[in-house]
Amino acid sequence: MKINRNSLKYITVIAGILVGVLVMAQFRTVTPLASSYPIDQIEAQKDLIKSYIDDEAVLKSRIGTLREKINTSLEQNKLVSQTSNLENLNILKEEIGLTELKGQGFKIELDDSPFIDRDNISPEEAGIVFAADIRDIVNLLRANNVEGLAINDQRVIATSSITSVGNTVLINNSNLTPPFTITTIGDYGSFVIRLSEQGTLADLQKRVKENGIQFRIDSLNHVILPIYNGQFRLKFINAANE
Amino acid sequence: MNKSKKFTNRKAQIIIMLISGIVLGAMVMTQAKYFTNYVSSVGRDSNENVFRKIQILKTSNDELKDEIETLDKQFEETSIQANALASINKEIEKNKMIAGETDIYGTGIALEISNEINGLWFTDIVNELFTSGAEAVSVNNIRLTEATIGFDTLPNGQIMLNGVILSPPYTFSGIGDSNTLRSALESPFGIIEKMRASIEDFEFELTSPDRIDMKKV
Repeated sequence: MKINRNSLKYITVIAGILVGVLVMAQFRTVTPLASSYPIDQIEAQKDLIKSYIDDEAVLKSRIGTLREKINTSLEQNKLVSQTSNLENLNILKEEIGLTELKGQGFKIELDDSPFIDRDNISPEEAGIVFAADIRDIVNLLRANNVEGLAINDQRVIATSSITSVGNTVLINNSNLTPPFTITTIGDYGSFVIRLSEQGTLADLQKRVKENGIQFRIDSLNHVILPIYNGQFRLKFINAANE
Repeated sequence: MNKSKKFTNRKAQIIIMLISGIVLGAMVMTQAKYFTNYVSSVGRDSNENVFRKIQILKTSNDELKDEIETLDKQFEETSIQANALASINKEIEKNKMIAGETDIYGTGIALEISNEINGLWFTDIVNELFTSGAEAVSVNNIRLTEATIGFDTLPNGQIMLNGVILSPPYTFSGIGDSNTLRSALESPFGIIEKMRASIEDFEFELTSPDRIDMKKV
């Protein structure tokens, strides 16, 4: 078979381009770090994480009880402690999430695709709800100026972290499992309008359509947000007027 | 002789074309956007360093124990009538700092990013700082408290925080243990690595100032 001159030119150029692409790809590819831990070590890590999360629940419950006891004690000493100071303190507590918050609002329910078993899938599966999805919703709620919010009865405050370990979502370092119910006090109507705007939660909305993520929003007449039961870190902060 | 020259010319032509092709292919690959897409939620949280997470949980539990100790003391104080007023005043000062009603300062880190960045990075960086133990965070000198209105992406792509349009350089400041915060941001699979992989010509500066000041809200 005789290859004509023009064909040979094209083949040569194409072959050259391919070689060039392959060589550059070789240079730019970063080898992914593969896990080299044996299964029992991974299990041990999981157990350790679980034990910390269990301890954390006990500690938070103790914090809740102590804060209640302090409140009762302050109320009992009201006359000595000056009513105005106590009122100031209560206003501040409301501002930082240390009181229950009641009002009108709405809830967002977010769940994995019904066809997915969260415990047996890759963390890259688009049909599961990621901590990043929850962060984006929380930020959107804050951008919409809601008064307060909680996720599965965990009060979320400005310093709350929303992260994950593998397929587990941690909010305020508490282990939460789907469905995630985000309850908030704020204007339902304006948030629904916001949600309908193009580009709002674009990735999540796409995965709702294409990957079966479940998303539902309902207005609520009576919302009660729980008291924040975590810690406040003040080890490195100093008041500037000190 | 002529035939031989013709053959050599043809060979040279082929070699030139092959080299041109290789150069062209290399240029295409160099120009190609070879970045990881972290704009979707997939990948923003995965591949986290488990040891770091364990450390975070351990630290968090230690902090909860400290909080219990503080509350125990406070309860003792408030139980004694004579100490109640002092205890309330102390609590008011502490809560004012948390609420952002007092100017504060402390050691920590400052991450300055020169690029225009997508809105999601703002929430992710702030979250990373709080997860790693930051006690207070500000973005371009706007302190984040319960009263702060969240990050909003305007139709033209600009980012607004608390009603103020932000423009680069974006400075994320966190008061806390500067070594812990720095190592969290710089950790493998950490936020800086993700940004490097996702943003073309990513330019940043991470510093640990001796004193970071944050104004009251």
